[in-house]
Amino acid sequence: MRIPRRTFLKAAGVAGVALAARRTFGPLIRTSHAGSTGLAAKRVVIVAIGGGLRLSESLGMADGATMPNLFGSVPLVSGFGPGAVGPVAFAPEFVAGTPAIIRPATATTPLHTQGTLVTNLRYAEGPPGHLQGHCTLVSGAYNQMENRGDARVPTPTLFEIVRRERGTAATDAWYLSAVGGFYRALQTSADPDFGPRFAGTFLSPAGPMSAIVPLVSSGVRRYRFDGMSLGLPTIQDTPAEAAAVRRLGSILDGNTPEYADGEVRSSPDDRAAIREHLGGLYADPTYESFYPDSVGIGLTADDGGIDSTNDALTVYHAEQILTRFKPSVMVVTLLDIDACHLDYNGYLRGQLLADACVRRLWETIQSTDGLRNETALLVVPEHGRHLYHNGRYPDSLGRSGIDHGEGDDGDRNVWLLALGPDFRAGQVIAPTAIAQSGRTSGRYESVDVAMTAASILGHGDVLAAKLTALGKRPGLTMQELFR
Amino acid sequence: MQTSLPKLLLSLLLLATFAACEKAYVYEFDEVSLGADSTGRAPRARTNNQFIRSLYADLLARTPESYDVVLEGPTGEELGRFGIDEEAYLLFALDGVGDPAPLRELIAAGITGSEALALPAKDEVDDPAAFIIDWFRRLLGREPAAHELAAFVAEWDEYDAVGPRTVLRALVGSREYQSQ
Repeated sequence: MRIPRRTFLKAAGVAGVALAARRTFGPLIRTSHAGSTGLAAKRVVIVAIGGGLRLSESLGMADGATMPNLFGSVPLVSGFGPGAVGPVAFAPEFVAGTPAIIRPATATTPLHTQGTLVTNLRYAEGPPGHLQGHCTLVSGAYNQMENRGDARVPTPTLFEIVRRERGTAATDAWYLSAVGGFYRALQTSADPDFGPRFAGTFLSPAGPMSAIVPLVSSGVRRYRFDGMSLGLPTIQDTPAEAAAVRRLGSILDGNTPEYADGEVRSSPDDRAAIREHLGGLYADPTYESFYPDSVGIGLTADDGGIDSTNDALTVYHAEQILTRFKPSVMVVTLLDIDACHLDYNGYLRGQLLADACVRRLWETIQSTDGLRNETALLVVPEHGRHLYHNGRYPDSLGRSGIDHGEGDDGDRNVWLLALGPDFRAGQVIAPTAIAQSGRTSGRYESVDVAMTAASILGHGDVLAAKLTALGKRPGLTMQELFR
Repeated sequence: MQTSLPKLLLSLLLLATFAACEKAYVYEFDEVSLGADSTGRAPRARTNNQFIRSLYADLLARTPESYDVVLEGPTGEELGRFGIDEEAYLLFALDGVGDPAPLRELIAAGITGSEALALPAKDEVDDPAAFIIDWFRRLLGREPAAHELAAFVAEWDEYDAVGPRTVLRALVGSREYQSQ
């Protein structure tokens, strides 16, 4: 018997996985506004592949084409052979013991041919750790940020710069992360000129974008399948009722001073917009809104359907937010590949999934009015992983886990894929004469990603001036990317 | 009786001195601080954990629980079950948003719409003012101010959407309720 909306049954599993993820990671140029840059892009989306992705597996394809939609099947860096590689070399015991990957057929032409690929980006300074790498991508500054949820980015983030310079709502700047934990710290900085009032809107979809909220708040403990449906619980929040709650709430709040604790707090309008978006999910009696099978990316479920992964869920909801709010800036953190510490095959699988997710995200952007041909997409690993395996949980092919953090070339050599209306198409580059005072790499670096994004949005000078004032080396706008 | 000039001058001098002393005396007391004007009075927000526990206590008169959700077939046979930890799951959801306020509002909407709370329908409430006063006491621990009660009752009378559930949602969504 197939129960309608398998997602209901998956809810327990989703919540369990999500809770496990939280346990794992929890401890763990003032310029004119956009339009005057002469660029077509009005917004920037940065997909930060977290967890540490090495050049050797992604562009080198040392274990097969792990990211075929982005890069095809011919290695794009030297040292890995000239010819096409085969499919991903999973260990047989991994294939036999884990759910099969579900993803759409690989695109006939890899995405990198639509944009520019920088194959020698360097994460030049700072610890190759999760929050430090991500902090670099959202702030354009190397850092020693602590892995804590209550930490603050030491220099302004792209979210804050965009919101302050444009005077826009919280829904104009989003940060979605596959896991919550300390990544939430990236929504805002400690800079007194910016800070929480200009924060990005943070969401980790595994928690709020799931059946948890309607299921638990309903309190229902027994469901009877009548042959047609289960009568899944929903939360009804009609516009009239929501408006009434807001009116009554404003009467009450008039008696109580504002909080002064420095936490991120939305304006009433932002709160209403976000509530409406979340409420739309909880009002859907089919539960399809949380993650429809039509996404077509995930792992095979017991009943033949699709179980999403955290990355797939995150990208799906990033698309929903992009199409609804059309924000100026969005950063998306993927993290499935971080399985690599203990599971090399999981790391390879995570790359296949991230690859499918990025392709889907780009296709959604390019098929949506208001996003198409006015959105720049920058895809970049937060950092790499060590050059050597750690010996833990070896597979039958002699491969074991790989950690990150020591700062060898495996940790620091990454890449950048730039897609969008202003970038040159079909360009694969590895510049080696990039000059800047204090830049010893001679290459483009991770700090250049945020600066390029800020420049596209017309705020590069704000970022550069702020970082310079704070004694940081600002990144460069990567001129070679542009037409 | 005549007052001699020296005495008059002395009196004026004493008066002036006294006045000066009195003025200085008053200003000394003006320096006494009775508390900060702004930040010192700012409320402290309840944590997500405190909010969830207070919501369950105030609306459902119980603490959050852990239990199995059971799925039954058409004839009552058990098809499956899974565990739910109300507090852990809701906290996980709340921790997944930067500003938890919108999600808190929706959780409150879910609980106030649940069968477990079983609020009366709007037309079943004979005395809206009494209902409002009762829930002010239960959720905020105080009587509504006159202007609050008048505004709530006026909203109740004017809008179909304002009823028991809306009143409770507004109360638990208020900064007053969500502060320690």
